[in-house]
Amino acid sequence: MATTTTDGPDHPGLTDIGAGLVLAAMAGVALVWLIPDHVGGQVGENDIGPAMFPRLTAWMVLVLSLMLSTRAAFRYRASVTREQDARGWWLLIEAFAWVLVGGLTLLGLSRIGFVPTAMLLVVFGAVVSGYRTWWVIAVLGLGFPFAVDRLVWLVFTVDLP
Amino acid sequence: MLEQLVSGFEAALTLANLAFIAAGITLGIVIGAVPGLGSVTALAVLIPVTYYMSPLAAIAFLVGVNKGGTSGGAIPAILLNSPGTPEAAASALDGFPMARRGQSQRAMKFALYSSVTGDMISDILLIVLVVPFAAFALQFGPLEFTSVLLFAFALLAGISGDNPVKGFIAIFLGVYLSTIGLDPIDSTARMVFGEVNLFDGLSLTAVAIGTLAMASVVEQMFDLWRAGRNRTGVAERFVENKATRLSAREFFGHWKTILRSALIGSGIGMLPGLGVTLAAFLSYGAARRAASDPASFGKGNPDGIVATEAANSAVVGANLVPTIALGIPGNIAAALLISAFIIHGIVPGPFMMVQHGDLIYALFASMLMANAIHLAIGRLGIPVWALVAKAPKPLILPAVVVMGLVGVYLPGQSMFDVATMLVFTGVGLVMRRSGFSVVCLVIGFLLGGMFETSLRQSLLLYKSDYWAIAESPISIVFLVLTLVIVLRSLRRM
Repeated sequence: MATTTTDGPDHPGLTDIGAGLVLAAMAGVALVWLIPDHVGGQVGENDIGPAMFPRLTAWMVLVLSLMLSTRAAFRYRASVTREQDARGWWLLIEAFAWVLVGGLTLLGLSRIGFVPTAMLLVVFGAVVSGYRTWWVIAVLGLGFPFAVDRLVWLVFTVDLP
Repeated sequence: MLEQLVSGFEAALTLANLAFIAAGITLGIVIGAVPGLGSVTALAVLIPVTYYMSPLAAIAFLVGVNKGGTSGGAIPAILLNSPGTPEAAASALDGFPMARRGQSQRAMKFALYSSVTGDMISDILLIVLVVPFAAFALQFGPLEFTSVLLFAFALLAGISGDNPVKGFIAIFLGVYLSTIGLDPIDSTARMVFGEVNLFDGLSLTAVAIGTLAMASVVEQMFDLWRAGRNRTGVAERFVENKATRLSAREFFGHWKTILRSALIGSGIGMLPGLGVTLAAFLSYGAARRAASDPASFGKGNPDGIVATEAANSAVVGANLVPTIALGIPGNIAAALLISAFIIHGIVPGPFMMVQHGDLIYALFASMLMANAIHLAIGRLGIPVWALVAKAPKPLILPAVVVMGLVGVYLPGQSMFDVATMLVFTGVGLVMRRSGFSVVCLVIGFLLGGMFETSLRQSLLLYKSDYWAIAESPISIVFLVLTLVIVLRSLRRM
């Protein structure tokens, strides 16, 4: 399972340091607040509590994340990783862009319904990806969501939102 | 047994039965190719269609759906790097690079032929081993399951990339996410914040489609956007090589991988609960370790596709071993098949072979014939699917996003699941860009519940008696293998 295909490249730079620290912080929040306050149940004499397993996995994430950050910090070479660190900034931009698109998609689905939202998504996606044959975009944008909506109703008898 | 099988062929070899098998396989492939709609959804949707069929035609039809649905998942994995199901994720690792090189048709042929061959081997093993292996499967207790799962996690982290620490983090993150919802032992609510939708935990479909399929599609869209900004070219389109032929000789040149993967898939399939995804990845890891050039895996090595598809299809037949012999479904698809058996008046379990022996052997015969039909239908479909590879990606990718939304909404008709998927698309995108394995996350999430249950049961059962491990040779073997893999991974760092 090479990382260069599905899983993305390995970046032994600031991205690793940052990712490790963020994950460690998240595991810390889980251990200090989330698990103690939001996992109920008493531990019986012969039982193992429901918090045991989440706590165990959160500890594993914490330890491994700190290991990742430490290893990356020791191996960090500014000149070698400058390009990869630039990719780290892109990562933040893309994540922010997705939060925006994902949020608007969800809002669209619940407010204006599937067909108009899907139309906007198809057109927006095609344009952002660099496609410029407008009549094809228009045909796909108008026809595809409508066809999917009808097909889902015909085959599964499900009304999309 | 041979006589019964011949009688089974006589009963199954009718035009109507063959037509139902062909229809099941076709529908399975088409539904399985849609991200989010794997063989499980296909089975769930199509069970009501079988109400008016004879029991044999109904079960044969559903087995066809299951076979087609499992292999159909490889199509978007190869063409678009967006596996619709977790078990197809390993097919994308080598299938997509082959497609990028203009070999999408060859990759799909490798996938189809491996799928059919693995399935055939598994079906033969099912027929021969259904009774004796059921007894062996009963020896797997919580301790053995815990050991197998630890082994699987170590193996996955080891093959997940250059940095196994990232693989382990992703796995444990997935396992942690699987603890959200009701506790599997005493049903205590965990991290649900009073949200009813979280009581059953996060939806596997939403998490898997979000991180595996949608994140990959969104990542490719961002790449196209950046390529457009840099004016280095847009609208990537695969140019198919003219040499799409894959001879039988070339395919069977991979016989070692085919046989190994089919045996891994069959072995995993016979053990209730372990599932298709684990088989696919264990097989992929085994093929990579056995290869003379392991570095070529993930860059378009056909052995990767062969290993994955032969193993995940081998699970389909083998899953019926515990289903038929013990009445215990090996996975969700087998559970749905059990419900279909019951609808048609057949109660799976130890008495099934005695009470419905003629039907079971007719089913075995149908399964063997289904493989030939699967090969023919799949082969006819490859040029049609290859058209997808020729279409401009900026048009295909947004359409896949829309299909992903539909695929996640359909099973539960829940906007909460859609929201979960959108969140995990973002998580998957960030993980992919920062070099974490999304596959490890999904498999950790998928197997987390079983891992917790078996670990807690082991701890409760044996308390602090650590010597209990020494009494289980199966556990010892898997724990030693786990240790070896972890040490090798750490040395590789």
